[in-house]
This record gives sequence, structure tokens and C-alpha cells, in this order.
Amino acid sequence: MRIFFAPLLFLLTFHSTLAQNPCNRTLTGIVLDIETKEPLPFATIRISGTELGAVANEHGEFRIDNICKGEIHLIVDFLGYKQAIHHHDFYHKSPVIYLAPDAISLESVVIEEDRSSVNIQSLTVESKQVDLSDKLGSSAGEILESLSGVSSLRTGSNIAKPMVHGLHSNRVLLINNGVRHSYQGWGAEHAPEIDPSQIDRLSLVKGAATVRYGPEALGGVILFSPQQPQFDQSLSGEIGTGFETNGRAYTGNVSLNQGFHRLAWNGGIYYTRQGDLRSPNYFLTNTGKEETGYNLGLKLHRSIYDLDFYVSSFSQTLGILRGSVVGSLEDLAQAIGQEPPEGTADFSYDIGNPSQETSHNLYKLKGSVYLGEHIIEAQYAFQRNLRKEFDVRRGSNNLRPSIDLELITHSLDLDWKYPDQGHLKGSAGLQYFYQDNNNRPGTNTIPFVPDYNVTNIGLFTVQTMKKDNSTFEAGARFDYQYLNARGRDQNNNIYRNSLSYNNLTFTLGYNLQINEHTTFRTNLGSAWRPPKVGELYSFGKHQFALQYGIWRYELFPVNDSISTTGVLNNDQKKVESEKGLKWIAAIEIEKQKLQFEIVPYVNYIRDYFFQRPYGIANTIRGPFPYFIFDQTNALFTGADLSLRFRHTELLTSEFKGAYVYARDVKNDQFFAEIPALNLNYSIEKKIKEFAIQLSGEYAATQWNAPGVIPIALFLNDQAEIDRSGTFDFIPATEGYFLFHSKVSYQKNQLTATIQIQNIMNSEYRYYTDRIRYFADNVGRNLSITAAYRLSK
Amino acid sequence: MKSQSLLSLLVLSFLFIVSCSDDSIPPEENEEEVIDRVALTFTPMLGGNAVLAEAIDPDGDGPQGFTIDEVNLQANTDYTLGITLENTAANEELNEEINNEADEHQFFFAFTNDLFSDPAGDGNVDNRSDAINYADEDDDGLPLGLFTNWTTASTPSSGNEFRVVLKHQPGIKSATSTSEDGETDVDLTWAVTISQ
Repeated sequence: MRIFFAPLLFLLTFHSTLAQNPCNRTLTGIVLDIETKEPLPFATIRISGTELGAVANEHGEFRIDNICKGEIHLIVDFLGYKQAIHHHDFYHKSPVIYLAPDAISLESVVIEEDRSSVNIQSLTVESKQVDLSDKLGSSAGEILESLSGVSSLRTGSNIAKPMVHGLHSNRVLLINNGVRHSYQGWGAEHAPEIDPSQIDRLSLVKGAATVRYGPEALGGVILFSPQQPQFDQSLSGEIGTGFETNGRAYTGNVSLNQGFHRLAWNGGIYYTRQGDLRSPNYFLTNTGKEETGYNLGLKLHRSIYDLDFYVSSFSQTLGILRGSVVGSLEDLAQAIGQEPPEGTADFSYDIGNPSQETSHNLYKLKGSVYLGEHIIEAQYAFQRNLRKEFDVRRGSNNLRPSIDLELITHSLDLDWKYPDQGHLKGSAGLQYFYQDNNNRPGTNTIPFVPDYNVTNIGLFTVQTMKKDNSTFEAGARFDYQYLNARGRDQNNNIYRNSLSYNNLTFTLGYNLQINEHTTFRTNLGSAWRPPKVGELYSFGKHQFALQYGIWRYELFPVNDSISTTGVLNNDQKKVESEKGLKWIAAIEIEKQKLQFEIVPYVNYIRDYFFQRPYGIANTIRGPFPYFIFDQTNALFTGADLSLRFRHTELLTSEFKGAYVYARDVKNDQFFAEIPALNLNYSIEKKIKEFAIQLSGEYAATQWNAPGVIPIALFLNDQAEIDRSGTFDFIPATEGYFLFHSKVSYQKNQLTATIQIQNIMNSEYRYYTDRIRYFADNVGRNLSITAAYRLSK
Repeated sequence: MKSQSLLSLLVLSFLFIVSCSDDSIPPEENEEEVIDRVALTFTPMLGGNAVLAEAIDPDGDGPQGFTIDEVNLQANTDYTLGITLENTAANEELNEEINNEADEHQFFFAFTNDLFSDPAGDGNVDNRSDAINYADEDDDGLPLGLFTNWTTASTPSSGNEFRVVLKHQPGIKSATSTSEDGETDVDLTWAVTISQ
């Protein structure tokens, strides 16, 4: 990869030849409250070491003229808020300064998007600063649920996979610290290996964003940003700790930052351990977890370029409910009716089988060069993802993983922002990634997915035109992907195949500032993803069904039979890429007391991969329904709503709702495991250093669930499977109400919270949780966290 | 069209530079978990030909069913039943493995009522405490079931059922654990005829 940085280093030598500017620079910006996003009129802004300064107007905006230096320090103050110090240079956009009230634990932050970063506003991006102080020990998936429109597909509470507008896995792209997170995303029970303690800022792109981010962004894109190293700060840090009664979890993290004038670094370590969780009436045996993470960031800043280096490591051991292991349909029938689940024992920190052990390492180097009006960014990243899955097996096989995969990914991103031309702004980019997936020996089972290598190259351009209150956005992208797979069939015979895909995607957007408070956005975008190896090649028993990938079966309509002896390829059975078209709109109102946003969407996906039941196979373990991977056309439509109302200075209400309607339009049926209507309400009152919050959560029954075929019918040989129809073994879970409360205290450097989740200790099951067949979800939990800021 | 081919060319040349050639193949693994042949051998205690009845599932986790022999027994005869479990793909007998883990495994049986005069009844799948004459046990003195003793009924009959269930009960197996505890390794039903 070295070759790509050579030209950049060459360009750096131009630095000294740039002419000195006279005192004609102007800085504009805006100061807002970090929580309410309301402007802070009359905030003061000073430039350190000069007489220059300004006072924000009623909209929080300010302007300072006659600045001589190319780089300045801004000091922003507002009574009752924490001071913000910001290093600014004129290669960056106007800063948006978010001040944090003294009474909350968040720090004031300045957000200045790199001018080069391509931002397609019409895609509707929800961004959120994450206050980790009360979320210590939560998984990345759980933290994500605070964004409206995000739910999760779970396998118990430790394994939570984000779902956006009803889509998940390979249809939601995760960008961790600017890098496409590369993991075994094909499995519904494979949660992304993202260190929750690293999440400083979360953004959700709700539109189809393939043009900007590449294949797989059909449902949306989730961006995780860690804390960036801050310049001009003496050594400072934070130490946090937490304890939870449910699972007897304990957590700790330490983070440090030191910034000089041109060089800054930060780093952190994180550890959490949790034992068996408890539902209202019994322990959920084998639901412990242990996580360790560390990271180190380094930033070098010169006026003409920036260099970033980042390294992180995260490893997890996650237990899965012992009672969820079934060998046959009869076992499943037994397990569904049984409470507490089989194998339920007293509390323990031990994690036995089934379990998962994963680790993820990331190394990233990024350089940005500012050449007059041109900005060029180059980023190289290396990721290593290991995943071992342990099942309940016989004898010494219990010590062997039944899935053992290593995935290595190299990625290279180049972005070029070229000079504005009148109302027109534009940028172009190249994205390349290469994945090398290998099965590691010693599983004593034929690998579920083959070894494979994927190369993907994408070229894109995005243009923006601003006219009066309107902004038009348009973009296009070309992708080429090459897949080479080598695997073994059920007789250990080798099969191999190479595939290549070309695809063209587009995005069209329109933003209108209707008035001072109201914005309207809309976007129509296409997205695609090529088939995944799991969809093509998987074979065999998975949980309580048999499944065959699209190239592992052949149908013979003449005598209505199926054969799974061969491994097919594209000549024998043509498989199309999945292609989506998503329309999204947003109306946003931001007023003194009221913030409101509604986001409706329609997403149509052609050649959507899904599993349909095809028959019942009699095996040595008894009868099993078997499912074949197939393609259909799917429609996902719905809306997210969020509303925040400030009753008084100290009393705030918040309401959120999300609804999605999903249908297989080709076979005219519903899909299973689509999140039901979800509503949340919370009210917060501030009393001096304390903030008291009460919240209620409602999830409806999914009334658009597929039909039910009780297991007894399979066992009695009476089940009739409608081959086009999806089904479930049990009806959709019942709706539920949950209540939570939280008290937080913040004074000087100390933040502490006490919270109770599921106050009523209600029994409930989560519809998009695979454990819903076996056990209730977790019951009441009391958690205590404390964070202390060192120095400063 | 022309621009696309140009682009492809560019892309391909780039690939050529950057892609490493990788041709790894997943290792050959012995599928030790699979049981695809179960054989019942009824050996008359007082001598005579043993009765062998197999169940074979040639495509393992594939959708095709398996072939299962009918069991033909003599009326009013004492038999010892030996069960053989096999992984034919790996050419491996699994009895030793089951024996080594006798404290985690147990066979349960269900049959047409009064098919046997001893044990009487319909077997212990539905009710653990129902009689079965286990001829082997684990280290804790709990029954295993690779070997069992049977005395057929005195009247001939046909169309009877004989169901064998092998349960894996790690940490669960006890004097009261039932056919509903643990995971199912085998669940097969043979047709049985008793002739004079």
C-alpha cells in the first residue's frame, strides 16, 4: 500500500512555497446547546493571543473578520456552560460549537466536518453524541437502539445486531472510525465486534447510501466515531466504573488524552465481565460475557496536511443460553413449553457451550492534504477478525470450535474534493477493499462456508448545487466485485468458483429550508449487494432447521423432487445481485421548545435473498423442516418519528416511535422477525446537580407476522408446508410495556448514575430475539456507574 | 458502453497490482458428529440367528429420507439387543465414544403396548420410571442402553412400532432425567413383526 502515500508526501513539500496571507481571513460559526441543539445567543468567542473576538447573535451565529494567522485557537464561553477551546485552521469548514451545560457529564465539543468529507444531506442523517457514563457495560448494539429507527436482531441480550428499517446483517453497512467494519456479517447470530467504550458519536444514514459508502448499504449506514485526539491539552483523562445487579456485571474503563500544538494522542482500555443474567423468575444459565478492548490514536497536524494513525483491539467471549440448544424438532417442542429452560442452574460467571469467542483488530493510517481549494484524503486500513463458535457436542469436540474463521481485510479509500464552481460543489472518490476469509483447521466438521476472497473497487462522484433555500444533490457510482470461493461439499470433495459483478448506482436528493425552523429533505437512491457465500453455499443443520444455499440444491418439478448432491454454479443456476431502491423524506422542525422530525420511507428490493420452507426431511434425529435459499422481491415501508418538548427550563419530554411494514410482494406473504411497532416516552427533570428521568417503552405484537405451523403437526406427520409461504413455529410474541428510571448526579469532575431497568420486573419476550422460543428476556436490573475526570 | 469497458480495464489493472493470489482450500475435516447408520441386533439368548435391522441415511443432513429395515422377531423369545451407531462417511463406529461418555448418554425406548412380555407396557419414553431391562450402566450406576434385554410376547402380531431415542444429557443425566431432557442424537422408529 505504500505506493499510494508516496505522491502525498511529495505534495507536502509545496508547503513552504505558499504565499503568506494578509489579515483578510474571516471565520464564521455557530454556538449551540449540546443537548437541545438550541442556539446560545450572546455566547462569547475569542481568538487566543489576539484582541479579536465576537458575540453570538440571537441565532447563535458569529463572525470574526481581519484574522491574520492561518491557524487560531478559539475560546468559547457561555454562562452556566463548560468552556470550549478549539484549534481552527482555514482548511476546515465553519465550526459548529456544542457547549455542554455545567450540570451534565458531556463535555463541550466542536464539530467541524472536514471539507472533503462527502456529506449527502438528503440521505437524512441522525447523529448523536453518546454519553457513555451511564452505558458502561452495554453492547454496541444496545447503545445503537437509542437512535430512532434502529432496533436489533438478537440472540439473547449479549448478541445484538443492528436493524435499520427492518433490514440487518449484510444489508446494513457499519463504518467504524471511518473504516468499513469487516466481519462475518452473514450470520444472524454474529454481532459486530465493536468496542462500546469507543463510541463517542453515532450517526445513522437512513437513505440508501451505496453511492457514498459502497455495496450492502441497502437499509442504511451506521457510523461509529471514537473520540479524536485533542490538540493543546495537557495530559487529561477519565476513569469510569460500573456495577449491575442483573448478571453481577462489573466494568471499568480508563481513557487518556494529551495534545501538543501539532501532535496529539489518546488511548483507552476497557474491560467488562458479566455472569448469568436473570429473567424475572429464573437465571438465564450460560449468558455471561467477558470483553476487553484497547485503542491508541495519534494525530499530527500541519497547516497543509493532517496525519492520523489509529489502532484498536477488541475481544469478546459471549455465552448463549444453555437451554436454547436443541437436537431435534421434538426437543424444540419440548423447549418451547418449558420454563425455566433446560439446564437452568444457579448464578455463575462461567461460560460454557454454546458460546462465541471473537476478536477484532484494526490498524488505520489516514492522511489529508489541503492544496488550495483541492482537498485529498487517503486512508488505508487493515482489519483482522477472528470468530470461533462452540456448540454442545460430544466428548473432546466440546473443546473444539465448530466454526473457526479468520477474515483479513485491506481497504483503501481516496477522496478528492475539487474546488467549488459557483453554486456547484463536487467530490469524487475511489474505494477499494480486499477480503481474505479462511477456515482454520480442527473443527471436526465440514465448514459451513467456504474459504473465499473478495475484491471490490468502487468509483463515485457526488455533486451539490445550492440555489436560494434549495440544495440539489446527485451522485453516481460504479462498482466491480470479484469473488473467488473454495469449499468442501458434504463428502469432503472440493468445489471452487469465481464470480464477478458490475453495478451502477445513483442517488438524487433535494433539501429545502422552508423557513427558519423547518427543513424538508428527500432522496431517491439505489443500492446493491452481491450474494454472500452463506446464501450460495451453506448446507446442513442450523439451529432447528436444515438449510441449503442456493447452489446446494436442484429442483426437479417433473417428479417434484429435490437433489442436494451437487454444487452448482452460475451457468447451472443464475443468481442475481440484490438491488434496492429506497425513497426517503424528512420533515424537521427545530424551535425553542419543540424539536420534531418525521421520516417516512419506502424501500423496494429486487432479488431479495430469503429462506423458504420446502419440505420435511427425516433424519436420524427425527423430522426437520428444511429451507432453501431463494430470491424474491421485497417491500419495506414505514416511518420514524421523534419529538422533544421542553416544558420548562428544567423539564423535558421526549417521544420516539418507529414502525415498519414488510412484505414479500412476489409470494404475497409476510417475513418473520420484522420489528413490531415500538414507542418510547421519557421525561426528565433537573434539580440542581441531579437529573431524574422516567421512561416507558412499548412494543406491540407484530400483527404482520407469518402463519404458525405448530411443531406437533410436523411430529405427527400432518404438517403441510406451503412452499412459497414462510412460517414460524410459535406466534409472534405478545406486546409489552416496560418502565425504566434513572437518576444522575454531576458535580465538578464526578458523574454518577443509578438506574433501574424494567422496574416492574415484567416478563416479556423480544420478537426479534432468537431466544424468544426458549426463555423470557432479562428482568429488573439496577446499575450504578461513576466516572471521574482527571485534571483539567 | 465504451466508458464502462475502459473503467473495467482500469479496475482490472488495479486488481492485478493489488490482489494477492490466494488459493487456500478449507482443510478436510472428519465429520465426527454425524450418525448416519444405526443398527439393531437382536441376539436370541438361547442361541439361533441374530436379527439385524438397520436404519441408513445416505445423504446425512440432505433432504432425502433414510431406509429402515423391518424387525422380525420370534414370539416368546429372550433377546439381547445391541445397538451400533456409525458414521459411515468417516467409517467410524461411535459406540466407543458413547461408552466413554456413558454418564452423559442414555437410550430410551417406546413400543406398541404389550409387544413384549418383559418389559411389559409401552416403554420409558413417555414415563421414565416405566420398565426397561438395561444390561449396561455408567460409572454412577445409571442405565446406558447400548445393551438391553427383551422377551417378546407370546402372540404373533404385525404393524408394531419400536422407537429408539438416544439422548445427550451432559450435566443433566440423573436417576430421574427423562427422554425430554438433553439433546436428541437419535430418534428412529422401526416396524416390528412377531411371528410364531
